[in-house]
Amino acid sequence: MSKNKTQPQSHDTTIRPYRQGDENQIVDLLNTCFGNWGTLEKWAELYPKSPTFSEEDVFVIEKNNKIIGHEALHFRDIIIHKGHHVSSVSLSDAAVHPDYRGQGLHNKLLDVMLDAAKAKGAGLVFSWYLRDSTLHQHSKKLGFVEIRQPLAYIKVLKSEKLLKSGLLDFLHKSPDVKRALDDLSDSLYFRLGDTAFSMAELLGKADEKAPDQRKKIEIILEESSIPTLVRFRSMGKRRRLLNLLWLLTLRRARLRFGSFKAFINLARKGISVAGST
Amino acid sequence: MPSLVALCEDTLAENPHFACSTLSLKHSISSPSVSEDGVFVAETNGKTTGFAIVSISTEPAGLKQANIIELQTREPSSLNRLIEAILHYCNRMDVDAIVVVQPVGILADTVFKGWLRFDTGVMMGRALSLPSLIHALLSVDKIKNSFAGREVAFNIGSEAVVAGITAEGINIVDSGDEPHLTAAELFSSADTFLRIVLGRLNPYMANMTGMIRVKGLRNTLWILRLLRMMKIERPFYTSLGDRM
Repeated sequence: MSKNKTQPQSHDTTIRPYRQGDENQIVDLLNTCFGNWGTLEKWAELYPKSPTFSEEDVFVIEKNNKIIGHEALHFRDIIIHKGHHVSSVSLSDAAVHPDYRGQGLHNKLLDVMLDAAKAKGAGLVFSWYLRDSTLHQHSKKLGFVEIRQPLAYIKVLKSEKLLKSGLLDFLHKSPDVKRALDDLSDSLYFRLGDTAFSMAELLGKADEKAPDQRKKIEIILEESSIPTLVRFRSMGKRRRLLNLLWLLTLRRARLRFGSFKAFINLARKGISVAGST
Repeated sequence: MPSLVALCEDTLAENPHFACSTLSLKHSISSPSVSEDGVFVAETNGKTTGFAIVSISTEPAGLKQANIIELQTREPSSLNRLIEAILHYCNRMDVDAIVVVQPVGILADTVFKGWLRFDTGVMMGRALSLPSLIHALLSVDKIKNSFAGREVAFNIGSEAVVAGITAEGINIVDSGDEPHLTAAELFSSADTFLRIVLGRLNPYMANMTGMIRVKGLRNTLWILRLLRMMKIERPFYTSLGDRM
C-alpha cells in the first residue's frame, strides 16, 4: 500500500461499464494488481472473444480519466438437477489499484454489478477467492457462502521451477516482504536438491561478483517441502507464515547463516515485516 | 462436438454444474493457449467415452504450467488412457507442472497417485433472486412425491415467494405483500437459506438457534424435513477452466 494514499473523492470517482479503448488501462491495472496477469490478447480472449460477452458486463472504476478498478460478470446457466437450470453469474478479475484500496470502492463496484446481474435475471452469483485472503473474509460478510467443489491435483515435473515461480508470486503479493528483503537479495540463497539460486537472480538483478560468504543466508528446502510450497501461491498471509514455521519445525526447510551478523540481519528484517503487517 | 457436450451432461448429471454448450467448448478449444495436440478424445468401440482439453500457460519465473481445463470421462479405463496421453504430451512440450480437477463419479485416487492436492481457490456463492433457485431445488421426484399438495411461503431476506408442490411439478408465485393464507410460512435470511441448501447448516439446528422461523408448530417438522431434502448433496462441479 502506498504511503501517499489518495483520499476518496466520491464526486470524481465513477463506476461505469467498459468502453472500447479501455483495454490497455485495464490490462495495466490487472498487471499492477496481480503481477504477471497477462497481455492484451489474454484479456481479449477472456472477455470480448468470449461467446457470452457483452460490453455492459465489464465494469471499471474511473478517477480523473484513469481506470483504478475492474471486475467482470460472466452469465452462465447452472444445472442443479437434470433439466433444471438456474441463471447465474460469476465474478472475475476483481482489481482495485493498490493506491486506492481500503476506501470501500470495491463494495460500491460490487453493489452496481450485483444490481446489474439481478436486473438481467441472475438467481445466483459465484466468485473464487484465495483461501483466507482479505477478499475471502470480506465476501463472508457480504453474505457469500462457501461451496464444495471437487479436489484439484498438481503433478510437479520440475520442482525448482515451481519453487522459483511460487517465490516470485509470493514476493509480488507481499510487497512489504519484498521491500524488506530487497537489500538482502545478494546474500539470500535458496537451495532445493541440486539447484541453488540467489534472490537477486530470481529478481533478475544478479551481478557477476561472488557473494560475501559471511553475509550469506541460505534457505535449504527438502523435496518433502514441495507439497506445502505448491500451496503457497493459493494461501493468505497468515496461513503462509504458519506453513513456513511448520516447515522449519519439521526441518523440511532449514536456515544456514554465514555469520552471526547475517542471522541478525535476517532477524531484523523479519521483525520489521512483522511490525508492518 | 455435440457428442462431447452430451458426454459432459451425462457424466455431470448427478452434480450441480455450469451448463456445457457447443459454444463454450469451441471457445475453450480455440483459445491460443490450447494447441491442436492439446485436445484428447477417448473412444471405446467407436463411442466417445472421454475427452480432455489442455492449455499451457507461462506463470511467474517462466514456469510452464499445463492446465487440464476440461476432463470428462465415463469410465476409469478412459481416464487412465487420457492421463497417460496428457503426460506424454506434457513431456514433449517440456512442461514443468500439470494441474487438473478430479472428474466426478470415478474413484480417481489410483490415477492421481503421486500427484499433490492443489488449492485452486474457494468458490463462494450468494443468492440474488429466489424463484428459479427454489423451483430447481424442489423439482426432484422425492420432494414432489413426499410433499404433493403442500404450499410453502418462503420469506427469504427481502423476497417472498409461494411454492405449490404437486406430483406433476412446482408452481412458484411471487407472494408480494399479500399474505398467502393456505401456505405454511418459513422466514430466514438469504445466507442462512443458502447455507442450508449447500449443506453447511443443519435446518434443525438453524430452527433451534432461531436462524429460521416457521409459522405454526404443526408445520415446523415437515418444513424442516423439506429443507433437509432440498439440500444439494454433491459438490458443485467446476472444471479448471471455470476456476481460472
